[in-house]
Amino acid sequence: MRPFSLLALLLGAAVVLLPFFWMVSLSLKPADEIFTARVDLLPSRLAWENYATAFTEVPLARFLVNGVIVCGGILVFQIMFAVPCAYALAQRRFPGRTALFGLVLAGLLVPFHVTAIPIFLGLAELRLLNTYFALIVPFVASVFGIFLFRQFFAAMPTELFEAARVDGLSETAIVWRIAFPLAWPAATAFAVFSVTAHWNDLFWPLIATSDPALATPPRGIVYFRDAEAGDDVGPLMAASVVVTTPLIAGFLFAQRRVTQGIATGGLKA
Amino acid sequence: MIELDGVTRRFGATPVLHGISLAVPEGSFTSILGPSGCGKSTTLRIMAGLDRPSAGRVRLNGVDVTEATASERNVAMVFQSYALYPHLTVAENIALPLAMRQLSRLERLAGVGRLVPGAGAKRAAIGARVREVAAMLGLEDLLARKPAALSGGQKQRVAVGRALVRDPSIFLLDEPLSNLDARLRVQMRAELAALQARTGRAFVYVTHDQAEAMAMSDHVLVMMSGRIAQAGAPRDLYARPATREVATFVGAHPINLLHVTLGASGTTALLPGLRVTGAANARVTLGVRPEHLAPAATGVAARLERVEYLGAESVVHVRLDNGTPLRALAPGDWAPPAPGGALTLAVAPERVHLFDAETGARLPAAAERVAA
Repeated sequence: MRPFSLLALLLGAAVVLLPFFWMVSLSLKPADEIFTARVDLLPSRLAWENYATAFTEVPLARFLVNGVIVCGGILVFQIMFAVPCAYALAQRRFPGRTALFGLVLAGLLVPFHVTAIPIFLGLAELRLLNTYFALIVPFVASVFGIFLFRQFFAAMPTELFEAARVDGLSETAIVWRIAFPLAWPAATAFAVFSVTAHWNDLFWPLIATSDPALATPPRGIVYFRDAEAGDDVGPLMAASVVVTTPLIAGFLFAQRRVTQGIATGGLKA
Repeated sequence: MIELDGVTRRFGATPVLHGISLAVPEGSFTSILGPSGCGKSTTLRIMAGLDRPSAGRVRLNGVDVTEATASERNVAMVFQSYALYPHLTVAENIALPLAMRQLSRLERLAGVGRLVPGAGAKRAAIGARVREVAAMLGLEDLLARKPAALSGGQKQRVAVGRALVRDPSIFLLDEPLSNLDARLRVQMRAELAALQARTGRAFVYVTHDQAEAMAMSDHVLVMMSGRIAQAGAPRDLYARPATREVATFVGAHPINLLHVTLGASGTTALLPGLRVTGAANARVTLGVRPEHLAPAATGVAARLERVEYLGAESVVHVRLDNGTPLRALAPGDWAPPAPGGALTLAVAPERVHLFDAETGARLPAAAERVAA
């Protein structure tokens, strides 16, 4: 049984990894090798100039910095709002709590594209398009974050929070000094989801910004597509590699925490 | 001291506490004893400010604190699960209540706090106090550990230390020993009593274990289904239980209860040699503790069923001629007859408790010895 499942997993991994491999391979191929009739998996020589072009032809470094600013801003605000909300939903008793949690769950069902146009119009009226604000603010309240943290906090023993109240902690202090530090696995899992989604997001930056100085990495890669001069595939792939690498590195780094955060969803006593 | 005045608590429509009034005086070790579900933990939570009474008032040192939150009252609480903060070391766990009360918001901020004038001195004072408490509880070597690396007894000590580190007006303990093994429980019992004597503060100790309540406290409140069934010193509860339920709950060995109808002269055929004056023809419940019913040369005739040998003493299970089962206590060196053999049990009449057969309330009448 074991060799079979291993084989199946390897095949699956190969299918998933092939585009990545192809991307890396293309990013290192000289221009004349890219458009050939044959399929060569490996480049005949390593064309590092594609990477140089990627960084010089467009301000790729600027795009990466923008990506960090936007994803970081979104994540900080998401956690700032989701953690206290989740704590209140899990560990405080107030009228309408269940109904409110029901609304949070309902919010999970609404795709962003449904609200994108009203948000766009609102930002346009406020003359806030083409700002970092426009890239960050539509995502600061994450129902998924509230849901994930709530499940985590609900599994924590109530006595822990009661002890904190007796010890003189305010509810805000309990959230940030007790609940949040114990929710690290959930926070890591959420951070990976959030950063991946917003780092890769092309839809909203394409709508909300037109200023190249504000372009996030995927928005920036689009600048390599030039209808008149033709697509510059080598540097485009090089830029894609550069844009994807931080995500893969980040995920590998957080991998164990992520599975922990999703699998346990609670606190081991 | 803490006082409850007519405190009622309802969860939805279900009343859990029925107008409880009590006072825990300064320096007293008071136990709230009762079976599970009697409302003893709810009473403690109302004292702590973790729960609000549906009606009635709570006063702490004469000040009405009914609406005050737990953090506004200066009370300390030890929880059954210890509720230590898993992400903080032992030292940080003990220091947290002090830091929250003595340092300002700015001074508590990591990094920034050290730059505020005076914060360093305050931190040093907190550190000194933590070490002092740790030394008192024998935790000096564990200060850098996380709770996950502690044994049950050590966690218990840290929880006590966290309560002890500031000077609260009252200590509330919610079954703090129930997760420990039997030997450790007896040891911690003595340590907690010594600690209470040392601090001189009032302790309110919730337990379902009558041995803990009797051994540690100077005052015991027995709670039964949301009411205080009896309040008094451990000796009073044992010697003069106010109701049949209290008599059943208090005492290491379960009391024998005999439902009888007394004759015209106040006697019963079940326990010859006994007469109750002033209760002729009444239906009563006689309560006889096993330790007051011992094998003797003369007395009540019975047949031996089983002997539980416990070392210092033996629990003797017998059956009276009419089939009523009884438990008696014999010294450990007592030589029992063969099972089914006849024996006689002596009863001390002044040790027999009388309860109303209907209400279970204690009757004022007393039993006396008559010539059989």
